[in-house]
Amino acid sequence: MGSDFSVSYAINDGIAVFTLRGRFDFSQYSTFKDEQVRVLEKPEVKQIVIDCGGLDYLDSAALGILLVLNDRAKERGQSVSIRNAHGVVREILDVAHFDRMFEIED
Amino acid sequence: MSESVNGETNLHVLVVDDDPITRELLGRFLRSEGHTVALADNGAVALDTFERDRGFDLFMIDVTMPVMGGLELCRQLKKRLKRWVPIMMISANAEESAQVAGLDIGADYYVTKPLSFPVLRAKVRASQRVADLTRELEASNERLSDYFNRNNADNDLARELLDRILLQGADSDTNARYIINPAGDFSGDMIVSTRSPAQRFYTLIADATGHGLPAAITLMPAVETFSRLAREGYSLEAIVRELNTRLRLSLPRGRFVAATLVMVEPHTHRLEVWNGGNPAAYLVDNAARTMTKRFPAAHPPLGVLSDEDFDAGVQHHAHRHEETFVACTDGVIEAMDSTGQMFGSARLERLLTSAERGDDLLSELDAALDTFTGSTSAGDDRTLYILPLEELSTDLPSSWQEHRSAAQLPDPREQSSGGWYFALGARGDVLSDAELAPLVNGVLNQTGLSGEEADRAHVCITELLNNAIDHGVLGLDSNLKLSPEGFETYYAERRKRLQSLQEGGVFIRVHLDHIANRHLLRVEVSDSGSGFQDRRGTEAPDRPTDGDATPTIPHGRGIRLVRRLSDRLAFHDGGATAEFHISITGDTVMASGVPSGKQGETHGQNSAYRG
Repeated sequence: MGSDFSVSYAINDGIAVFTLRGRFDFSQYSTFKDEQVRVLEKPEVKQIVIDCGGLDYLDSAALGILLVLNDRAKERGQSVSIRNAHGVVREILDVAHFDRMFEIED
Repeated sequence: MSESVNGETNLHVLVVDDDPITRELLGRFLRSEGHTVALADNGAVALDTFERDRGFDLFMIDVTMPVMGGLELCRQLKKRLKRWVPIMMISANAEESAQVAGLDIGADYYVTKPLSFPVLRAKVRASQRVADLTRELEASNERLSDYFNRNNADNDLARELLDRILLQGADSDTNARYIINPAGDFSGDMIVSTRSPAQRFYTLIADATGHGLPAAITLMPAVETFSRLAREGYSLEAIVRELNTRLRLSLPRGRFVAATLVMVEPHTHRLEVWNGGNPAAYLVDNAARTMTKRFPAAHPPLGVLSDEDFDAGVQHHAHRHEETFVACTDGVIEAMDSTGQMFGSARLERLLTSAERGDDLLSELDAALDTFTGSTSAGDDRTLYILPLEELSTDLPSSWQEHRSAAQLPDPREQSSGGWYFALGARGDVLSDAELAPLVNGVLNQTGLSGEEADRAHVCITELLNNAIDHGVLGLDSNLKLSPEGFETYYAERRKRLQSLQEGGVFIRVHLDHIANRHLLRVEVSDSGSGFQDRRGTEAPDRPTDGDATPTIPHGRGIRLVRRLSDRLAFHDGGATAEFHISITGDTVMASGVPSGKQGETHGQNSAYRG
């Protein structure tokens, strides 16, 4: 179980890709928030992609963090999509019906 | 003890020595160092001094003295001191065994004669530092224990408040069983159950984001809203819609409540489930060990979507008495073993249908979870809820008396000395969201109608209104409801037709008259349909009724029920109007119109909140 959480981002052609790894839970709130604010405020960012390929787990608090990100991005006219969600992570997103709020790429 | 100019603490010292020269020498030395000094020439005098003045910061005691020796004095002081104060023994004897004896009974320092002032100065300073540290420690300990006690008291108060709010919400007694395992002091998971006067049974299984006190607080607006609307008999759709609105208003962004709501109507065998963001709920035939129905999350959690985007659609099912409803929160599915593997829904489903397991579903599931997680501590609140439907399938309370003969009823044509009258109707596009039965029942409650007769009236009103809407206005075929699949189709079709309804409606008139020491409740429900022609399907002709009997009287389940629960049932307008009477005995109708009855009754048994 990769219990360490990390988040990194890269911006290309106005698309900011967040790469999440490990276990994303409430304790990671501030780690993610700082990164998120930094990226959202860049005027060149038009679209945000959350890459869950390296993610082992996320709890309801993490879902909440993603919802906040989605709200903030929408206020700025940026779209948010979720990519590479598999296994447990995909199940959790499905149970929460995140497809109603985000575009989930298969 | 006071602070000197050079920053070192000045001490208040008691010097005890029978030798006047040493005593004076020590006193002068200490004073020259800035300390204050009291002198005593033996242990007994020293104890007297100590009893009068407890503010000493250091004791310097000669071992060998008459009346009371130094070792005994040291023992006595240790007994009397409430806090730690350093004790320095002075002896002419440099032998190790004497020093050990002194230190053994609690002396902290040992100096030997002849006294060396540099050594003495160093030891006094050392005792000072230790005394200072000890005092700081005592002060922080005190602050910490103050904080701890206050925090405990606050927590107790918070828990009691939350418990009370939950108990107010609970108004039911069924054989539902549950286990809530909070991850911490407070649970972010919660179960509330309520029964409406019209005998509908409602349960909310909620899981707020995170856990602990913030999560528990998140749930409070939900409890209040759910209990109130469920007690008044609102539809599950109306309840979840209101819950979502309420939570969206009160919760900070990123906080939400995953919820499973279930409504069981015993006399119609209707079971409705709304699942937003919780793991799947199930219906299980516990004897056959089969899973008869799965209710996966069909919606995001409550408090996420705006009113426009929110979908209150429920899943319908015709339940059987051998079925058991099972629900849980994600703490169960995501419980981890020591290797980080999750319990998972597949394991849960295998267990539900396992022929090997015991009959007690709740303890079997709980034991399986405990075995699985081992000593791994729960990271999240874990809730299991089991509701056997047997009791909720056995129709209506057995205590409800069968209706009396018409001869015993007050005659509505007799002179009434007073009473209430009201009428209410809804038509067209408002009908889909109009909650007529709770409104009518609410007004009846306000007139003071309560007790078993009122509850029977609530069931009759609910049934006749449903009948009028479903068949009179929407023209639904109740034959559909005969098969389990048809049951779902029926309610899907009902929803569709209601939402596109342009014309047609229902109308209800209520009289509550005081006639000769009794009250007579008369209720007429009319619809815009064309009467019995609308009632297709199960409504096979039965024996003619009293009243203005028509040869083809509809006898669907609902109508049979109203006939049983009311004291008189009649049809007019070719069946488009149904009228029932219930005689109200005693003084249940209060002249003041103060609402009574349900509000005050609480049964804690089915409300769960464990901190």
